[in-house]
Amino acid sequence: MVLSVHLDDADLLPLAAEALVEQGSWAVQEDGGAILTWIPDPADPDAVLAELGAHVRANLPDGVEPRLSFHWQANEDWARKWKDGLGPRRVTDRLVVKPTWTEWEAEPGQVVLDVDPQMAFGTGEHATTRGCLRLLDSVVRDGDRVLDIGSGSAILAIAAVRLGAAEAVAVEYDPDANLNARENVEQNGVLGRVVIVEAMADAALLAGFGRFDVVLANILSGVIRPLLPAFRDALAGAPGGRLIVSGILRAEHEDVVRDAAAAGFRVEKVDEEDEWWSALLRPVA
Amino acid sequence: MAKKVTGFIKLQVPAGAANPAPPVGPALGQHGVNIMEFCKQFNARTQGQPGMIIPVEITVYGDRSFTFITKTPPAAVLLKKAIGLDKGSASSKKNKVGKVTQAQLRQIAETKMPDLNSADVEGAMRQIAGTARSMGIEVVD
Repeated sequence: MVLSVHLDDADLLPLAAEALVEQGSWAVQEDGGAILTWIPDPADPDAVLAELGAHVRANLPDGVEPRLSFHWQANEDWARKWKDGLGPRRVTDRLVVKPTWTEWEAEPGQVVLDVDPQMAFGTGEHATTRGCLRLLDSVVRDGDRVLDIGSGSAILAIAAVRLGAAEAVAVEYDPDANLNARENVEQNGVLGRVVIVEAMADAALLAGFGRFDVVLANILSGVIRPLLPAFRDALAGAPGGRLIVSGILRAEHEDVVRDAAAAGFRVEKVDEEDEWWSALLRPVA
Repeated sequence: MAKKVTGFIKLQVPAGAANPAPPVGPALGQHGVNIMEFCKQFNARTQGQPGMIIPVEITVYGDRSFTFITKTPPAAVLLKKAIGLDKGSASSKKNKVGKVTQAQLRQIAETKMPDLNSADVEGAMRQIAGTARSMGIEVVD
């Protein structure tokens, strides 16, 4: 049974929440000017409503009248049900991304990445991640040195190494994402070959990393555009340097192409899925 | 990364005690969020605040990853604790249930500053004083 408590003064809702937790609720959910909680289905809901109402009232200032109501909602096994719709995704012929709890019988030469949705973007469930992975698979070469900017779960850096790159540097400023990324690095057997750097990417930081063969940036066009000259510098001198950008809406791509040309890149290949535009760019000699 | 927000959930959860039972399970599960991962991270982040109910805001992204921020405990709860109050009194003109000093208001305001839209502590103190009055708590010097 879902119980709702409404109060005219939202400042006092935490006192109602406190009363409900004292009476055994695990937590409450805020819903506009009300709070909701679940209680085991009672035999006499009106009696339970009256009893809980008395407890809530006792925790409120005199004269403040809480309005309690309920509706029936079946509880489900949410520890299992949240996983609905998740499963192995064959992103390219040789690259599969899947949650850890699922099985995939790999074909010869196929690379399978285990990535669960946690506190880092980059699970394979978003078009931009898949766009980058498709482009990466088409151009990554054995022994490449790869830079992944805004790496999130580090899925792109991990994929690069599993597809043949010698090493990858993954730059991400969010510590929660990096916690998840480090687990992914270990889970996918690339410890020591994917290095996670917790920092905000800028030209000075990138200059300190040396030369790369491939730069990956699945961020947002507003973040990517000012960094294009730094990406060009990071690829300088690398024979056949490659830049893969994503996180760009189709409607924004012309601005990115223009700034990329100004920074010394040409677009070699485009990958579009839903409203998202991803591209492989090459430095102009 | 290209983060597109697909869900925003607000909960109040006892510190260090999140678990997949309702309402946390259904609130997050309906958005396809990894419930156990949220509970693990929330409990780790709040275990140093036993006994407090922590407001938490969870943002869900298009690839079912998520982030969350914990807020400071609500002003009403901090006021109650500050003056050892069991309950308030809305008959505030006649029936004051307790007194909160300016120093206590300042301490609560400083705690709440990260979550309030106040430019300075004095502004935050005025907001906290408003909540105190609605609880029937008298503000004294």
